[in-house]
Amino acid sequence: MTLHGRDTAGAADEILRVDNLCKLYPVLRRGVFRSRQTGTIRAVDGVSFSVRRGETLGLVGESGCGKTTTARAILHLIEPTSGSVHLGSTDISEVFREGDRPRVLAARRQLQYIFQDPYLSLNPRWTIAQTLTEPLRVHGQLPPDQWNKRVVELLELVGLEAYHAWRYPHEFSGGQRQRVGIARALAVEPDVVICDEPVSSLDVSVRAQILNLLADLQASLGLTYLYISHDLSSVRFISTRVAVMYLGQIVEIADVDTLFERPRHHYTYALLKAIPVPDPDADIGDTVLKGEVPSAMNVPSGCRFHPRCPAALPICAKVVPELKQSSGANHAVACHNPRSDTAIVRNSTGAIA
Amino acid sequence: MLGLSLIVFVVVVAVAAPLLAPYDPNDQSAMLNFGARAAPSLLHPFGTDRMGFDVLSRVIYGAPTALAVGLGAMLVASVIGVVIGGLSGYIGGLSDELMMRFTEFFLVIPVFIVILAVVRLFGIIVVGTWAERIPHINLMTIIVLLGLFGWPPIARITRAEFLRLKQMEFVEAARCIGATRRDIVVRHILPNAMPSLVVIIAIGIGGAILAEAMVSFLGFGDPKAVSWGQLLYFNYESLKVAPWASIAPSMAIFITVLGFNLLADGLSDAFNPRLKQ
Repeated sequence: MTLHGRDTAGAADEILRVDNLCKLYPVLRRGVFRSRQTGTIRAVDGVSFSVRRGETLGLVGESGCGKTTTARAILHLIEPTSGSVHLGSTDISEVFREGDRPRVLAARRQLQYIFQDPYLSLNPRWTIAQTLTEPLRVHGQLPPDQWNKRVVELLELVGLEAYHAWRYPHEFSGGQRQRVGIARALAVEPDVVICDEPVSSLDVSVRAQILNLLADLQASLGLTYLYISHDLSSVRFISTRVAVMYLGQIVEIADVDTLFERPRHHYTYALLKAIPVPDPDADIGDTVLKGEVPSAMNVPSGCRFHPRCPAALPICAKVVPELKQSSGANHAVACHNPRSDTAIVRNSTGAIA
Repeated sequence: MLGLSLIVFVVVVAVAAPLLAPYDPNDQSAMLNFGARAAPSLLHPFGTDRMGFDVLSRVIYGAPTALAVGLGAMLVASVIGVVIGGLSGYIGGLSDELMMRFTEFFLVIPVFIVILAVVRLFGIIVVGTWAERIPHINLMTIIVLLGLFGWPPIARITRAEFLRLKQMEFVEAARCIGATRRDIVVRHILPNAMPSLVVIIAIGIGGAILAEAMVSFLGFGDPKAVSWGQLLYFNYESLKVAPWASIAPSMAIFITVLGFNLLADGLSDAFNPRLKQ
């Protein structure tokens, strides 16, 4: 069963489905008269997953593995090379490509984005009120005389006060700005929100507040999240299911507890082992993976992880492993020689033994 | 602040010229008693020049001309520069490449020779046609030409700003919301590009005033307009006998150009929302 990590039971209420999404960048060598393509960067290479209504799918992986590119391709901020994105029953990748404005706006209303860096994602010359009014103006769902009321409503929804509306972004802290970013995303009452590392540029003390806010909003508004992060602790906190990306591909996808307790892919296991433990005496063991992440321009043959994998077999260098369901119904892994389906052992400090 | 005060001073003088000037700019009656090249006196505070004009009055009436040249030329230049630079930066790719080569072509043209040639030719062509009756047609030609050759720096700055700003996350956020391209350019990118543009435009106004003075100094100015460059052209030959007739318009040019350059600095601060109280 190669259902790209999507299980048959949940297929009915899936709200966002990404099929075989690819984003390739040509590497050009500029000549005097013409440029020659000397290679291809496979930033996102055949990513497929689905998100069910009301759940949070965490998308983890290290920097440069294509998480953000995936999100941006879903939102058509960059045009995907191939693949499709379904929102409900609509193929939104096609809607965005064709550019029929009412349909594009309808799709935009359903799918919103929370940016990573709240210092860059708000127009510095606009007051918060102007920023929050923009989606109302663009979508025209509300008559202009109700915009102010809605702005106040949104500010209160994210834990800010009405008087904040007249301030400029530079008068706020990072956490407050991120709240404004969340309010802007929620202004059009979306069903699905893609959160692209929403807390990674915030102070550690503020992260918990923002994560709690996201969780509360999900509960009260019935939102569905695609939560992108390299921070495994926040992913574990907020996600229902987690997909692990390595070099532009999803290598494992499972329910959050399954993934964190019984990872089957060796890369997932290495990631989990690398979670820092707040104990200076903790035995970190032989956690560190050998080598570097290969360049997305020159991906290894077969399984992309095989040069670094402690359990690589000869087949791994030749055949690309497919993402297929393993033992549990909600667990898919792309590996020829997966770890045994047993819980990982932790020592007293919480570190993986 | 000094820049603003200087500019306000020049603007007030320009607007109130008929009230402030003791004589009509074309009044040569001084010839009848004081004579030409009379030294400064109570009746002629800046003296009179080679042709018996009152220097103070001529300098005062030069202010509106200078402002018209500076603002007019930069209006033309800004429109062309912002449109070309903006399109170039926002669209990118081949159109960017072509438009920037076009801009560079304009940058390497020896502007003054072209302006002098066109002003001269145009001055000959219009004789005897309806265009001759348009007031200050010669001055307008100079203004338009200065604008037509003054846009490349504005286009380059605009392009650089657009390239930088179109990658910013708040622009992507606007795209996520579904804002139209026009909205993104007009409401997000352009206002954020303003500080740099205002600075280069304010400096350009000073440059245009200086350029017009040069054209007039070479004798290609509008003979019917009163301009500071022209006063210098008329009087530089008597610099040793009547220095006041040259010094006064020079100081006027100096004050105005300095004022616009200082204003450019001040404006870039004023546009920064961080300094807004």
